[in-house]
Amino acid sequence: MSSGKSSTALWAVTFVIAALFIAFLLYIGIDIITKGLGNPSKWLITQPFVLLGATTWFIIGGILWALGTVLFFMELLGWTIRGGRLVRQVIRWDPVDVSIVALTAAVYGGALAATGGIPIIPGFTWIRPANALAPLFGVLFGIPGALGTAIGNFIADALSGYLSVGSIGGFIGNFIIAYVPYKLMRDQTFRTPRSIVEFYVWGVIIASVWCSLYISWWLDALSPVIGLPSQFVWGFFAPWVIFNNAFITAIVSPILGYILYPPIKARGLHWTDRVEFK
Amino acid sequence: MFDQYATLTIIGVIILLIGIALYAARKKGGLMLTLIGGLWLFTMGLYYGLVATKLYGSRSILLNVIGIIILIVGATLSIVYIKKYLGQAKR
Repeated sequence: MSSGKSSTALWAVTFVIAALFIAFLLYIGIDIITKGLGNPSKWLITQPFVLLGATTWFIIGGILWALGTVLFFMELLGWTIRGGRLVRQVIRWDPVDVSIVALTAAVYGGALAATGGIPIIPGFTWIRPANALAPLFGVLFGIPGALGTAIGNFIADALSGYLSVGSIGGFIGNFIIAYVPYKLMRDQTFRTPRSIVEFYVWGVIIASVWCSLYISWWLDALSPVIGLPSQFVWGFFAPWVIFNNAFITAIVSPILGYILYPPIKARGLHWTDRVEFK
Repeated sequence: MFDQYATLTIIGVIILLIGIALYAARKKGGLMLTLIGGLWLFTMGLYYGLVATKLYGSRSILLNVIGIIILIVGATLSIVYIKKYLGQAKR
């Protein structure tokens, strides 16, 4: 009886946390609309970037870029960190894993392109609803899902007219969105308060910020080639990507995760059923 | 002059060749790299195709339609293949 009550209380707290978080993101969205797309320096979400300046963010972004790149290659080469130790991970890379990569790439890339350019906020700009899939693919399928997300974003870049060497940053940046919740969520079932809170921390906040800073650093470092000025990268692109990722992920992903986890687990496609650690 | 798209194409070719070499040598990860290289070059093909048809960078609805086609065809083929492979593995 008391365990039932405490469980209900925990769920209530979780819903309040989720609602407050979504309300905060909505507030940021309204703030952007009110102040206008042409005034990014006035947006609430841009203030940390204005306050610390482009140089500081370039240094922070550089550290996260180096860490993300090392993790990306380490994971693909079959090494991972588990329990604070560097261990071998055995991903089968059999036809099922390869199909999972193709599936997630097609669904993510196709969905991004299918909804590209469709204004969600009429007359203002558009968001990317398919972003909600990226952290889910990591949580459900592990490294093959994260890799599919990376490839999917690359395909979407070509279809939306943004393909450049900057897309290499987008490739690993989107891998990171999927990788962070896959690696750091302890409960990946989307069926407990802990699982939902963990998703908000790792899948929404940390993954969105890391992905944004990763890509932004790459764009800034390659500015002589790509041609984007530092002020644009850190004063518009970085905060916008954080908002764009976090907003849709916070609202849609936990619901999709709740729906998709059981059938994927039941078919033995969940990463916990397919990866071994040595 | 630095050509971004030639660079991206060369990267795709290198990944594909390494993948094929590893796959031929029956090394683990060969299939994965072949797939990455293949899809990378598919993207580059898509880019060159869109440039040739003057659709690249446009706001044409056709681009959304291509996205839907990739989503449906890619997802269907992958799911059919996963089901077939899992069915074979059970037997």
